Amino acid sequence: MDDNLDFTTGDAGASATYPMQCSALRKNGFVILKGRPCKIVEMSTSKTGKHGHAKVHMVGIDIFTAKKYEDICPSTHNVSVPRVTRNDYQLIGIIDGYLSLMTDNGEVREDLKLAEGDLGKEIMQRYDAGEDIMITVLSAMNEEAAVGIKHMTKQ
Amino acid sequence: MRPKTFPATSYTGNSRQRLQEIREGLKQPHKPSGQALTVGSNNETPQDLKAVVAKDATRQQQMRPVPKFGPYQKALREIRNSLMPFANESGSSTSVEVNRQMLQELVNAGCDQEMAIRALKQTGSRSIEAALDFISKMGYLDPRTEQIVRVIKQTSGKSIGPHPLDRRPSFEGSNDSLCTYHQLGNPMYDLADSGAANAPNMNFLVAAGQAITVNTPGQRCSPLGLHSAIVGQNPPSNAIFPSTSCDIKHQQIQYSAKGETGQSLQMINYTLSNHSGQSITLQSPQVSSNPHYMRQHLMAQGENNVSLGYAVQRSSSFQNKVQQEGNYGTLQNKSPVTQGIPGHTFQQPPTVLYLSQSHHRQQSPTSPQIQMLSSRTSSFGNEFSELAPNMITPSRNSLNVDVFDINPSQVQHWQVSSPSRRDSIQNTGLETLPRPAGHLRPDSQIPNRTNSFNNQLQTSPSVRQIQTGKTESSLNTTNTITAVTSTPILQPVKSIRVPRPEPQTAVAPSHPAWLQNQGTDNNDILEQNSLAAAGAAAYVFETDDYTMKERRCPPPPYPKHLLLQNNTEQFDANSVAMDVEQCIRGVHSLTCNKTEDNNNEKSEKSSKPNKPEKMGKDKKRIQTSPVPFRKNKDEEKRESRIKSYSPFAFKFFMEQHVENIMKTYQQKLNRRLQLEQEMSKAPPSMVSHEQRQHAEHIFLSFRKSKSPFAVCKHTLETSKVDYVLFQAATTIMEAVVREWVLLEKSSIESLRTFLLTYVLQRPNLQKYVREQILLAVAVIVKRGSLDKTIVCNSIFHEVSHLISSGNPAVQTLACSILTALLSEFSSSTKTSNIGLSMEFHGSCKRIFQEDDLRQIFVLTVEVLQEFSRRENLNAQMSSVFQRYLALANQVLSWNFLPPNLGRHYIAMFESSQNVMLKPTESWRETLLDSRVMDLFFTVHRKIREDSDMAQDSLQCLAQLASIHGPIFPDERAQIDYLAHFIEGLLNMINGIEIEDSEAVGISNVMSNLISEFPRSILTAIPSELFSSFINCLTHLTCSFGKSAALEEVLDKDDMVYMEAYDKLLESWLTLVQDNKHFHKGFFTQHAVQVFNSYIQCHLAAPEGTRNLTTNGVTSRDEEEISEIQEDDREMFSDQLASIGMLGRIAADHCIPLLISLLEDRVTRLHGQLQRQQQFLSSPGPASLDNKVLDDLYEDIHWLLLVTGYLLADDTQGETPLIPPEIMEYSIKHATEVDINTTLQILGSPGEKASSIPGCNRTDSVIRLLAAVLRVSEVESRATRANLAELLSPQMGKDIMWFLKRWTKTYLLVDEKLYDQISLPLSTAFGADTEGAQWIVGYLLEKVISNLSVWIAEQDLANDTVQLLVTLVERRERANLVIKCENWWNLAKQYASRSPPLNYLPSCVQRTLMKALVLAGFAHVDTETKQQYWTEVLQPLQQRFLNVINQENFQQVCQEEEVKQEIIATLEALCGIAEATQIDNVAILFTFLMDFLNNCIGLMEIYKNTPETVNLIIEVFVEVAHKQICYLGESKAMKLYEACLTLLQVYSKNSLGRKRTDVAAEEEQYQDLLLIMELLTNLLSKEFIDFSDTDEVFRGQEPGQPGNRSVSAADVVLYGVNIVLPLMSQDLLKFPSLCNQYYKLITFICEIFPEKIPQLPEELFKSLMYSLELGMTSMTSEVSQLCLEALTPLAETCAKAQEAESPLFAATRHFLKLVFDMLVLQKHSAELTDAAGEAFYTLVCLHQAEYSELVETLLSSQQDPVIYQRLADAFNSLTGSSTPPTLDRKQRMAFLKSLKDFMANVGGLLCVK
Repeated sequence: MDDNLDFTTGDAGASATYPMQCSALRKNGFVILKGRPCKIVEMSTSKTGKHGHAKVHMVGIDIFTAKKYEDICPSTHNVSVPRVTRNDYQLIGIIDGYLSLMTDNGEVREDLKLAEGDLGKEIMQRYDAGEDIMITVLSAMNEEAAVGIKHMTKQ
Repeated sequence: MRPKTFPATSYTGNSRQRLQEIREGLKQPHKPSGQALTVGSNNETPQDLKAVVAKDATRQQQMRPVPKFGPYQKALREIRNSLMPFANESGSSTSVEVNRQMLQELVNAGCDQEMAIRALKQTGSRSIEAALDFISKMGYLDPRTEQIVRVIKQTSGKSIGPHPLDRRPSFEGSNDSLCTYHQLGNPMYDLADSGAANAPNMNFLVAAGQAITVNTPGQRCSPLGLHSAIVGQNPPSNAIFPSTSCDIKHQQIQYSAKGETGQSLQMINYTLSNHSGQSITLQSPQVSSNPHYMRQHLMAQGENNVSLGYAVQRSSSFQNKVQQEGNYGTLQNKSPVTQGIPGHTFQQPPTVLYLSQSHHRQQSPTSPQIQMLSSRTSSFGNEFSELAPNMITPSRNSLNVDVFDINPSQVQHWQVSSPSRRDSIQNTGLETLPRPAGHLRPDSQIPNRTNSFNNQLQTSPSVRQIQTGKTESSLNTTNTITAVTSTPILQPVKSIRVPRPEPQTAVAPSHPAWLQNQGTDNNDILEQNSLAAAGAAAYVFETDDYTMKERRCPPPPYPKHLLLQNNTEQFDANSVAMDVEQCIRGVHSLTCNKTEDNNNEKSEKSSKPNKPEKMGKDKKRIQTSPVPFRKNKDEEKRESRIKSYSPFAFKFFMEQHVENIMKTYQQKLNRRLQLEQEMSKAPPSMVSHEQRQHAEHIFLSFRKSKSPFAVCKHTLETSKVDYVLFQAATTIMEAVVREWVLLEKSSIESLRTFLLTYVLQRPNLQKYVREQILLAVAVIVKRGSLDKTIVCNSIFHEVSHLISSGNPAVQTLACSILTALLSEFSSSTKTSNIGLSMEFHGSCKRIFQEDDLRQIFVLTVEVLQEFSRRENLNAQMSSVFQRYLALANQVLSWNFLPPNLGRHYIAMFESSQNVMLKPTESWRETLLDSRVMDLFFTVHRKIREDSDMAQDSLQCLAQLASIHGPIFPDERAQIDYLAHFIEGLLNMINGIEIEDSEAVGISNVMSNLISEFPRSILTAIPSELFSSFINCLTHLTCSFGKSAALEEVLDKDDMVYMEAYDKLLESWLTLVQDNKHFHKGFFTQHAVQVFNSYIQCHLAAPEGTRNLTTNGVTSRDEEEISEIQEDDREMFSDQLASIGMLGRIAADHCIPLLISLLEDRVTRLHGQLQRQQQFLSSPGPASLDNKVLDDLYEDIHWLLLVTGYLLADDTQGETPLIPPEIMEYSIKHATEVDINTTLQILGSPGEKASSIPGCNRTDSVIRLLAAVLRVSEVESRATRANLAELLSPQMGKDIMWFLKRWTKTYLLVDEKLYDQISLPLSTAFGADTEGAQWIVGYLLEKVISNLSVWIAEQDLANDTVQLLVTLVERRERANLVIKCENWWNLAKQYASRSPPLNYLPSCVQRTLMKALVLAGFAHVDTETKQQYWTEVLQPLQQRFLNVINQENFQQVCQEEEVKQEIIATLEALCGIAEATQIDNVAILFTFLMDFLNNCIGLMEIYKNTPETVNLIIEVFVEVAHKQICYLGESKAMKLYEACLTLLQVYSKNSLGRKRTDVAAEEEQYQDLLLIMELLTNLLSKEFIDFSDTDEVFRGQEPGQPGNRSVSAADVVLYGVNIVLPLMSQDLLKFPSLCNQYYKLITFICEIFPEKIPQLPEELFKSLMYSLELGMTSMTSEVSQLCLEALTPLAETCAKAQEAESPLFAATRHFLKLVFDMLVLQKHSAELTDAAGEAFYTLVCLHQAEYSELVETLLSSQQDPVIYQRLADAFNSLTGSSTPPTLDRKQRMAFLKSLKDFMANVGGLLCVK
């Protein structure tokens, strides 16, 4: 891995992003567009003139804000790809609009806001209904957000 | 003399007094209430404002109280009050200081009203003369105005001069005139009535009108009388019958009424003469046709519309007056009176009905421009019709209104129009005042009962609100709207004289005589009160007897006593029609109501009374149609269903004493009018889906109604909505075929005549209506051709008359008729659905093509001959010319049906696109006549500049060039024909510069000649002629090629030259591939030319002309090219293949040429790259122009493509061979070749070829490859020098592509495959040669270099690995490959997944893995295999295990590196599976199995990552696909087990997954598709199994075959359990899912039919439903699959013998389905076998049901002949004594007889 290990963070010393050749990106993968971590929803290539080199045209959706970003770059160039992790936590409570989540190893974190919009409502609803649910939390580039709900599966 | 039918009048005073009273009564002011302006008043134009002023003026005038007629006023007020609920009249009065009398006089005199007002104002109303002066001064705008004023001034001595005397006094003093009126009117009434009732024949009507015209002026010279007569002709309510000719006459009478008796006579004479023309052109512009007014109205400063409006409006004013009189004098008589004069009846122009709004506008002087709308009828025969063309366009806006598709603006139109219309109606009573301004009074309630009543009915309820309230404003709006749509017409109306058509030729042959007789006939007819049809003999005009008797008498049996019966039936028919209309209207009024709330109520009020009215009081017999009516119960029911009207309405109507028959009839018409209005106004947004469906339903049920002929005819004659006309025509067409056998042949004949005449008389019908009517005629003819009742000849006779008329319009019509016939008879696709069997269609076509088609052709040729002789064709002529040319083309493109072609073949035959002309023998004289051919050459020469026509004429020539078949009696004839044709063609082409539009046509002609005429014929023509033909072809090819290149540069949308060039190159291919008839080298010179020109076009300047436009400017494109765009090598593959072929023909020239060009480019490229490099390394800001490089790249690109196509063929699936021409060429030169030098040249790609000594003595084929290698070497060196940025990936691709193509064919040539082999080639590339080894090494190096350099260029990388695969796919080559050190490096590099290979796109990686595996197992040597194992496969496994076995895999699994690793592994696994061959399957399967088991675990882990899940399933799919057929039982079981586990995991994971997105894309269902694919692949084991001996696994398998834990069936059924619930009907819309799904369930049914009944009930049901769905409503491919599934199911069922099982029940259902499909429906031929199989099995299973089905089918046949045929056919099919069994022999016999059965009766029952 990296030579200069960063001991301040807990994550295996990996940086938040890593470079990748543009041509190696694929649809449904992640990429950083205009500084935001995005999921690639559309990719096409083109070239300038018949003998030009390929350029990659990407359309991505911000994984947190769902905003749309576009970029075009030569396929030989390197682009940054965010390290995205996805974790499921058990929801144990909602306090002041913040989620109380328990990790698999029993740690509780309460730093995640209840998502706005439909997802937030559904979480609230299900929580109120007393359902045991898991919250899927996506994290990338030091940002985290709840992005989905799951039934508790019997482990 | 008054006819008996006139009700007695209740008024005793004399008519004059009566008239006066009414007039005065109408003057009673009406208080308008507030205006509600809803329609775009902001559009007002100044003109409109003036009109308003004028209107206001009138109103004031009207407000003068008239105390004299108190009682009447009272009565009138009452009436008005009674009308109040229907009209919220409103308005405000303004005053204008204009002398009203003067104004009126001026206007009467023909001045524009607004102008008159202005003039009067300006002159202070001093005198008429002053005003006239003013007008004439104002007339500077139009020079003609002055002339008009002069005319007015002159005539003013008569009409204006005694100006204190206006019309009124003269009217009042004219008892005589009233008398006249009555006398005239009454007899006429009947006539009119009969005509009105359902006037079937325009000619008759016209004649009637004519008679009156003659009589009136002759007998009664009193102008007043004439006036009244005229008046009587024109009540708005009557304005329904379209007959323009009468209109004209009517107005002319008016003219004469001014006292110019002499002139009037003259005019009448004129009218008569003119009249004949009118009878043809029928719908002449009603407005503009009055010569008198027109002339006067030229004063209108170009506002012709105004003046026109005036003319009409004015007549309406008169009519009202008389109506009133009629009303008061003889209350009951009102309508008859108004109707009484046929001239009137027919006088109203068609617009009146068709387009109510325009009609009404036209009557309203204040909405002048609207009249433009109304005069949609352009007129051919009318002198004053100049306006018409201009008007057509605007008027279409309103006319074309489709019922459902109406844009909002049209709603406005409608709303606006109605008020204006009402206006005119309402104003009718006021017209005693001689001022037209009186019309302007919009809000005056008319005491005139007739009118008011009509008004109520006519005016659409929804409109009333507006109309009543704010007529003025809405009128303005009307103007405005029209102003928007219509172009102002400034030219004088009278100036143009349109050629007058000659009616005698235009109408049916009987007409001319009739026309002459008409005048005298009419009198008799009138007196008798009955009319025998004068015009069309077949038309019966029934006496109208207005008593109850006939109504009561029961309808005698059809078809006896047609005459008597017709009335009742007609009436019924009408009422049915009414009902239909009401229904429709209901729908529409609904829509109206939405917009305007109040209307609802009103509409009910107004519409309800109509029904009782019609029912109770309508004693009138409506004149008959030629087609007898059968009373049917439905109609009666409908009649009785009519509701009783509301008391209020009843009272209202009673008060009004409206019980007149005629009026009732009019109401119907009005309602129709209303209906149409409403239909036309409803915008799409206002029509709900339901309503639309309802309306559609009405039309559809209308079409199905029995004997709708009279209704339809009536509709045709009266309706003005094109869509309704269209529907009527369709209905006639369908009904006539349906009821053919029941109809009298004479009625059919007359119906046909009617339709034809109808169209003939209405030149201005909408095109689609006309075509539909002609189609109906064609269908009648076609249907008749079968039983010989109606012969085409009569039609041809008529048509030839039409053609000889010389009138373009008529000729056009004739052409339309022929075209309709042609397309009706032509092919099954174009033919209309008339419910007849395919057999019928086929035999009709055969009959037609023998004789009638030829007649059409002869007619057409005659016309063309005529045209081609003429010198100058005007626009109209040439458009006719064009139509006939198109017709000729249609005839020549006729797909001649060979005799005795089965139904299926017919369908196939018809569907072929390019029809070659293959006429039957009977055409010999017609077509082989060289004059025909010459004619088309002449024609083309004449019109070649007109691109549209040139296309047709060239198409004709192309068809003539394709002529073949039995038409030629012997070879000699064919040779003569060809020689003559080529001569003509060369004459035509030589010396002309070919137009763009000609290119394709000419190339078609050439190509047809070459492809259709046998070589022996081609060579048999005079050799000089042939060689000049070939020269010409060469020349054309070259020049088209150049033009095509130019087209590309200019980036034209329409690449005509490219198309032409392709076509010609294709012809070349046909020519040169024949080496039997042409000696070797015959085409070489031509090939050289074509090849050179191609190369030239694709090279840059100076050698070539690429990118050079005509003016020498080069253009460069730097535009973005998306990845989707096809590569040149695909896009131009056909072209390149032809060029390659030509290049081989002229190899001696072409190969050296290519060598020198390529070597030159390589040198230049090298130099240029070096310069670039120096430039880059040297400091300096500027960059070198890339153009030089780009040009070089493009040159090389094309050279490589051409070289590739020249040297090798594109082979798929067969062993590629060196083209014989190339081999020959190489052998030929082998003697002069120094092999060593050749090899040196080949082996030194880094050096310049010319630098090697003795380079001239090399083998050219090898040197050509060497040249390409040099290009490749330059590229490689450039990448090593880090110049990749400068290189062209496109060129890299081309190199890879070329090398791949070359490798396939040349590398390690197999000498056994060739008769003789060139020594240089075998030395250089043969097996076990150094050259081969060197080349392999070189290529491998190139591949590796490319894979590291061009990672980011996916296409290039892909081409590169494809080359690699090509290198290793044959063992011989692979063995050379693995000898290379590089190869192992590549393998290691890949296995270690180190950059750059791991950055390659996934598909490239997969292919790379495939190549590695293929090469690895190529060698038999175990040591190599072991090495391969350790170097390639083991690392892969190791890495994978390392990843998934790490302790914290659960945690890190989502990390990018881990995911990448997993994905890469999975991709590699797919690649490995793809590389499976029988000799490596054992190892690979074992290797892969380990992975598969682990993958299932990954499924669980990556269940949230669909990409990964899909990839995992894909691995399974690939493994199953590639390996299962080789697997032994135990191995297969392992795979089954793994798959089962996979499915379990999948089902668990997908259970909770929601696929809510309805609009989901197909790719979201990728997993489902893959699962189905997997199941299908697993099933394929059951019928493709290469493992029966288990040879492959011998030795390594313990083998316990009995111990079967899992079977394929278990896995698959389990899978089906998962898949079936997930498949929805929506998903089946995705083609890939649908196909896969049906493939799967068919497999299951075929392989495990016994498992099907065991399925859970739900699953079983949905499976059966799926089958049915697939059989009936999917593609034929799917239905074939389903049918194939049925057979095993039925067999299982038969074996099981369980009568109660659900499967048994299901099969019973399927029996019917298959039966219907086979016997009744059209299905594609390839289904017959599958269906037959299934059918037979089902029949075996359900014999009783089958008999039942047959019985039912037979009993439904009415025709005994068909019945017998069917019964016999069924007998021979299944009639054998032994019951059918599932015995194979019997089955085969059945299938055989089924084919006969289908051939015999299939066409009989399958209808179209």
